[in-house]
Amino acid sequence: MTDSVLSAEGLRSAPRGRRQRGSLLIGASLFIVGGLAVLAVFGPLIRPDPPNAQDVTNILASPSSEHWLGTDELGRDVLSRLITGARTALAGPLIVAFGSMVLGTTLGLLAGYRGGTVDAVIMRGVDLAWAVPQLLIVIVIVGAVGGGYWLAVGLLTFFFTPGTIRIARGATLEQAPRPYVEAARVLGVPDIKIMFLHIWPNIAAISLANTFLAFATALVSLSALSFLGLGAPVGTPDWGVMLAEARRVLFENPIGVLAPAAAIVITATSMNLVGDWVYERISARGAVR
Amino acid sequence: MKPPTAATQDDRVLDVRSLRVEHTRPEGNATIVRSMRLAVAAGETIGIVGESGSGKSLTARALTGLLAPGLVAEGEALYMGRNLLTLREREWRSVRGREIGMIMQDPFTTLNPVFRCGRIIAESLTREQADRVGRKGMREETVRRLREVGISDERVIDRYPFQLSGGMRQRVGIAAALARDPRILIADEPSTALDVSTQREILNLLRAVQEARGMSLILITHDLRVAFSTCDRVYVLYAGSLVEVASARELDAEPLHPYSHGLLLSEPPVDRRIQEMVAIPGFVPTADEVAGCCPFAPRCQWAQPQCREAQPALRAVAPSRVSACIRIEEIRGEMAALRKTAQKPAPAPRARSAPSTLIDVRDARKVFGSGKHQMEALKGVSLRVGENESVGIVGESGSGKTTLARTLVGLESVDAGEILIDGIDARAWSRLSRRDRQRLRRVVQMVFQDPYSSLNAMRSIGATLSEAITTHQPRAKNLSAQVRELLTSVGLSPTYAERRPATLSGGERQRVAIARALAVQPRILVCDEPVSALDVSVQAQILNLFATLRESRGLGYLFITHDLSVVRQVVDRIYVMYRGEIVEAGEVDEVLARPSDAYTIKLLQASPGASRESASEQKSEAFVSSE
Repeated sequence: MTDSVLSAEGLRSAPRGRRQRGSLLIGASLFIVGGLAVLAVFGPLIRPDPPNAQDVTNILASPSSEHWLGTDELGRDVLSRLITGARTALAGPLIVAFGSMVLGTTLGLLAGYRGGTVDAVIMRGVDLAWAVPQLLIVIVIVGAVGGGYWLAVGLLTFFFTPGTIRIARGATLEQAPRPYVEAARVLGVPDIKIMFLHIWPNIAAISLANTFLAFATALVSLSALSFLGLGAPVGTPDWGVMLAEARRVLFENPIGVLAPAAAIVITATSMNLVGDWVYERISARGAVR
Repeated sequence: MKPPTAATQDDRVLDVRSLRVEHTRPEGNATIVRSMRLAVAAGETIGIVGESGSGKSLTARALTGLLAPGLVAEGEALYMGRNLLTLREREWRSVRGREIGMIMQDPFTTLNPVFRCGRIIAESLTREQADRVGRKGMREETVRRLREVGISDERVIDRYPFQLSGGMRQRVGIAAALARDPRILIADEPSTALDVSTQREILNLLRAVQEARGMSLILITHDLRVAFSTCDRVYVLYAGSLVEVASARELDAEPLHPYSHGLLLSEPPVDRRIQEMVAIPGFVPTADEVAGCCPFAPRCQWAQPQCREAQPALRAVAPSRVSACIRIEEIRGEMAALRKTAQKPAPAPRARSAPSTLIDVRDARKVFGSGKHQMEALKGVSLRVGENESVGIVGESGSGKTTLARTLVGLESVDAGEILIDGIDARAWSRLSRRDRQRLRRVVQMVFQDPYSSLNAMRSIGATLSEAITTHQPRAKNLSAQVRELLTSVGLSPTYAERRPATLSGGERQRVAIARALAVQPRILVCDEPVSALDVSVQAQILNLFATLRESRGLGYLFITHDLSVVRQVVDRIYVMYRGEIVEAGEVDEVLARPSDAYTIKLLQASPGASRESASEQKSEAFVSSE
């Protein structure tokens, strides 16, 4: 027993160089995610100018000490708009990721633990949701209803849930036959408690890591919808909208396109890395062998 | 230590000196093997015996260059004048398999499941061997190889590993390990994952192959009885240090180190019931915890201050005996006396007045699977367990004993038959009312085999136990006092409530699992192989705990095990199960003394220690003296 533990640990301890480089990346990612959270909350206090203040005498300006990232075609400060956009950039994906996690984990636990008819019903629903072209449906519905940002968020949450269900169900199926679960059943611990107090903590690592991935994907999807004009309304300081609007004057002022694009890519990447890190941290806790 | 004489030095195929294995970690290196030395002569079988954490497996891995990254081996391992420990991976390829072969413990995972057995063996041959037999001769060659390991059925070549039984798979594994005709074969617990009756066959096979080929065999095992029946010479390893070396027969007759002594006493004898097993207190420490003193001192009843001053060196303590105990001359007599009293057979258990029946199973049947792939797990099983009675079910894997246990606690339901528990019809738990279910749970509780996964790794011990209590007494008062009491009753300190399972040893976890079952104050504990995942020295502690709890709480047991010697110590009556049927039942002493069913007889003969054919002694004696 101990022998195998030791060899397993040996395998896990990667060469030191890689680990240090990894922790630097993680540190940077955590800093970025933390920084974004600060911007989302305190953005209005930090930004140099109001996001919609136009200065028609100074349009498409290059970066300067006055406007660090220049101005757009209406003379609005790009940096201020970027900072303001952090709020919608984080809020929407957060709701999508968290909502699909809660819904998906609950249904996944139920399907995996109960099995039988419950499992069949839930999983056939999942199959159905996977069988349709999701983004296309979102586009059609949002286009038809003309709903905007929050409708897009709601629909994305709905379509992200099936993936989460599958992951949670798979992890639950692996845990359910383990002796600690059976011991709880033999003791007579109610099923609800077994699912949420016994099994969930043991699949939390996968579940949370998946939440971060969902966040990154949701951010990109929402930005894409905004870019297509199906998300946030035209004119709002949303990263996707900014990208769409600045695209027309790409060659006159490239920074106006590059800044929101970079913001989206960096945020999504950092979230993925933080998700990996959270997974490793949680799965190491209490891990036996 | 006298220097080895020239004559024996020539004999040595492998000579290991001051082998040290360390785990390199950022927070400082951890020692796993402190100083291992061993010598193997051509045609000799040696055993390395130790419990988990003794470093026996990693010694074997160091000798085959298979240490995981992060583990480093130092010292000398001379094979044909070459120090194996300095070889590079490229050089290892010409040694591994061809010079030193290895058999792993688990035949279920060591064979590649997508290869047919013939291909597994053919692939293990060297290029030259393959060229020699040619493509046409290959099939013949593999048949010949299979015949050597006792498989006469040619069709096995075209089977996939998963289509074979565990024993057959291990035979194929052995054939593959022998493919390149190594001079040394290292077998790491080759029989542990197998059923008792197959275990014996595999060990005999290894021994026969070793003799036929004149090869050297290094057998690694945790079971002294296995080592005694197979090896010429035994090395006893404890917490990374070698504590005793002796010929198998002499070690069996009189161990000369308190640890080997304790290990022998912890193993219950199969041929009689003893009063109380002598358990070694505590559990195996890591090598670093006992650095600079006798590794066994913290658990040794004869330990004196001088034992803790420095690590004792191995020395010759008797003709052809080597031990690391500095007090052995003083305590030798005491140890022998203790062994004599400990092995005295206990008086037959006092006849209890026929107890009232608590569990009554009649003609239970259960079929798994459907359509063509049906497996009859229970074919009409009847059994009875009374109040405060201890009953054993013995059988090998696939006998249906675990299925039976699971139906009794509601984890499985039977297809037909009757199960009455304390007067409640427990045939289908799901159809019972909530109240009846809760009542049943206060009658039967279960202890699982694997203490590592039967506790929720994410919860503290206290949380696990309080949940068990509040499930049946939602308004329990003094919860923490009750938790403390439970912990004390299974021999753990109350401070364990705050700890998490990962920080506990296997034995301690099994105690917690027992405490959890006791929390609802059941009248019968169903124990599914409760000690088979534990170290031998800890096994005896747990068995003694079961005996104590039976007395103090009036508990009854249904003991499910494959180990006849364990069952003999703890039960009154026994049922022998084979392929879903009960083939024999009765008082344990009666059944084991005069078995009537062919299967029971086979099981008894197969259990290690039942019949000890002593290995070739002469050679090994000469060898030990040279060390």
